[in-house]
Amino acid sequence: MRIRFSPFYLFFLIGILLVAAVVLRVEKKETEHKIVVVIPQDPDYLDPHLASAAGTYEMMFNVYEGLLKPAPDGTLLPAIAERYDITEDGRSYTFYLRPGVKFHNGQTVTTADVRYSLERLMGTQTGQPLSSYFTKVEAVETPDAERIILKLKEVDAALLNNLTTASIIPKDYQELNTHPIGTGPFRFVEYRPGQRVLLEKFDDYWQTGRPFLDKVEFRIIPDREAALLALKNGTVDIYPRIDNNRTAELGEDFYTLRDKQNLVQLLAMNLNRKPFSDHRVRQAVNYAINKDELIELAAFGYGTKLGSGLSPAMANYYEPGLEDFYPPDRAKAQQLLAEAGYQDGFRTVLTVPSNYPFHVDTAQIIVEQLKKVGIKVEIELVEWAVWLQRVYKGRDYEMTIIGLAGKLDPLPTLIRYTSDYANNFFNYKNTEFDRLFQQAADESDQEKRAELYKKAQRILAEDAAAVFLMDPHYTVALRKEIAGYQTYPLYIQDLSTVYRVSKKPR
Amino acid sequence: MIKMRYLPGKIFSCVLTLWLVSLLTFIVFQILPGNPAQIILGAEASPEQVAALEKELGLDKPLSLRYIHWISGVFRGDLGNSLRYARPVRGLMVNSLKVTLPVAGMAIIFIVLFGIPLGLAAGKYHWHKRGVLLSVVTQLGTAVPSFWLGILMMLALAKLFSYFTPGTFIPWDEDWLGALASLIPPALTVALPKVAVLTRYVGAAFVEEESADYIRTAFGKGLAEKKVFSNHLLKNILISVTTVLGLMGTDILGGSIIIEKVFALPGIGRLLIEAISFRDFPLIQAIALYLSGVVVLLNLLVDLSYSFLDPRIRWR
Repeated sequence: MRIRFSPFYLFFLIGILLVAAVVLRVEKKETEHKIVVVIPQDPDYLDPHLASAAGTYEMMFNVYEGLLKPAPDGTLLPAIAERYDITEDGRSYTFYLRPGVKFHNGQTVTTADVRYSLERLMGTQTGQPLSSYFTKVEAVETPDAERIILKLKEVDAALLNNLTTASIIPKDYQELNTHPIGTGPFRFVEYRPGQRVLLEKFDDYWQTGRPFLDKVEFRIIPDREAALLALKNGTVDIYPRIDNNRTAELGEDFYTLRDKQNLVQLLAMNLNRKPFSDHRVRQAVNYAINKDELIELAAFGYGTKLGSGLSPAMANYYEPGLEDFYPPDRAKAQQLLAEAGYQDGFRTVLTVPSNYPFHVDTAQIIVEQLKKVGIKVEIELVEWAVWLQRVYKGRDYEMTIIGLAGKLDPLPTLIRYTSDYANNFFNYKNTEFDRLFQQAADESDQEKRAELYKKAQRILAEDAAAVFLMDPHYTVALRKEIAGYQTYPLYIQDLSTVYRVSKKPR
Repeated sequence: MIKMRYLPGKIFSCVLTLWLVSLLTFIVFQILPGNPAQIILGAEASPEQVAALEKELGLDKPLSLRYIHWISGVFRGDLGNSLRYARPVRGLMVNSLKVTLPVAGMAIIFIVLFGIPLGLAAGKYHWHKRGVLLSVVTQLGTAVPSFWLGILMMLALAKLFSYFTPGTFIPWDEDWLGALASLIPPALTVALPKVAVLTRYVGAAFVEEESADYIRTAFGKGLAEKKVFSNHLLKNILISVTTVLGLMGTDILGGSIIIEKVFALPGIGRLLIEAISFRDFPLIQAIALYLSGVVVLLNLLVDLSYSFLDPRIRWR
């Protein structure tokens, strides 16, 4: 008998496999009021006092709360503190605890918990501060069960804004990093590295009626293409920070929201290196770059032009008009280069972190724009770890592109340009700027403070400390049936107001 | 049969290999720029925060000390804590292997199930039209890059059947059927190019052995074709197939970084990328240990299996 190698054998096998695959795929009926948000990376620490990654904060914002909370318009809302008083001299803040706020473990928040949380951040017991935001706080006092008093060594105008990030945690609770407990609208359920972070509704949330959703899942998908497919196929409901050029292909089942994201994308020039030590060369580069064209080509039109180290998202502090301080002017750029002794231009290297495709795209356009005035730029792509080590810490670069995320307060953003700040990788030094910055930090009157910051921004622009490119708009794509999403001028996914239209909020 | 002299020496050389790999990883790590604390915290963190985290993670100690600490832990069965995830390396590895191993297992089943019969067919019909067709197809199969195949497979499955979406890996304890189903497409993607390779390999071996003297003798003494195939030909082909399968096995068990990226699977390949980009020393060491362990173990298995397949090969 001959053995037959019939092709039918193969088709048969393939058939079995495909049928098995389809049968095995058990369609789950959606009965829960749940939403899946796709995020590109794992959280760094679940302990809010150790975490610093923006990607962690945007998730855990739903789990932890501070005495105060940011509002979508960038103002402050009372959270665990119901209200607060500030003394005339700005040296003493009294917060009144909101009664009946519960932790996810059922305990009621006490002033002792608040004190413990703040002192943990300040390093009062350990001698090792976990945050640099509260160095001006001398003592946290809790005279009774209602009041928390912060005594300051000197005026700290950024204190209220900084308190939004000071999460309140249960006193002496040791397992924050594995089983986070906060007071937010959602309770932490589980974290599977590389897969997901799962949250569920906290029934005893102090804000009655919130949240609407029963469950929230943050699905970790690093690949942008895969994330897009997951959104299209219904695995994922919300895709924050979707590429602007990909929204068109989403079709009718989706809608998008856009806003400024308080990010300063800039082209830094190493001021300690020739030729960028020359003020005229930096100005020439500024004149040579056409920001409108850049926004059109790199961000597909979705970006806001910048002129200083702050984004207009910080409306109270932003100095308007600086974005046109250096209108695109090739002749002027060439003239300035000639004055500086570079009539034939020069060669330089632009170092870009390869994990940010947006910065890489921007770099390519900038190369073309600078070529037109005779500056020949070579792009050098480096891994993020190398960028941090060599460019950011080591300040060993000529030009680089990076996005610096803004906070609620201008202080942490503008401190980067002060002469002796450890992370001033621009190597920017200007005593007048330092003076204004210090004056603003010591000023308790918010309006006067804003004036000082505006003056400081003008100096940054005049000195051409960098080329301040744009605040690329944050675009979030959502399924049609999802409503209630709010955008913030911060890196936040607030899901407490989100719901499915089919499961209307009560 | 197994001589007791053989095994201890072999095991010793395996352990030595593993240690050398870990040493090599350590040396490469010393050259690599990057500070884990800074990478974890990013550009937004203040210098104080970075310093505090460095201390917390023990990064203020020299790498050589950390290596000694790590390797002494390994002998006690403790792989240490991941810097990036701030949790035990062992748990992270187990979680990733729960994805990579099933994919690898299914892929190997597919490869054997399709590759060997197809290869025999290719050999048998070597001079026939069908054989030529098969040869062209397998040539294509070996040439197609797997990431492209993966993307095509994903698009086809997603668009045509709306059956599969990337990133849908469901944890095993939640729905094991769903988890298994979601791993079939990546397993097929891993398997297909290798099926083509194995088919060509088996086909070539078939043609070569078919014209060997012992086959002619077997037919000459009046054996039925079926007997000639199963008793003589197949057995000789299997020797070379085992070698190829061993090589493929090490490749597959390491978790395909590219396939895992394309299908957004949280497997060992993705864990490795993450570990490297965060300069997560204990995690990289553990994964390197696993990968080299797989290679060493499979080679050992292949060596051992020869003696069962070929009586001429015996351990000395």
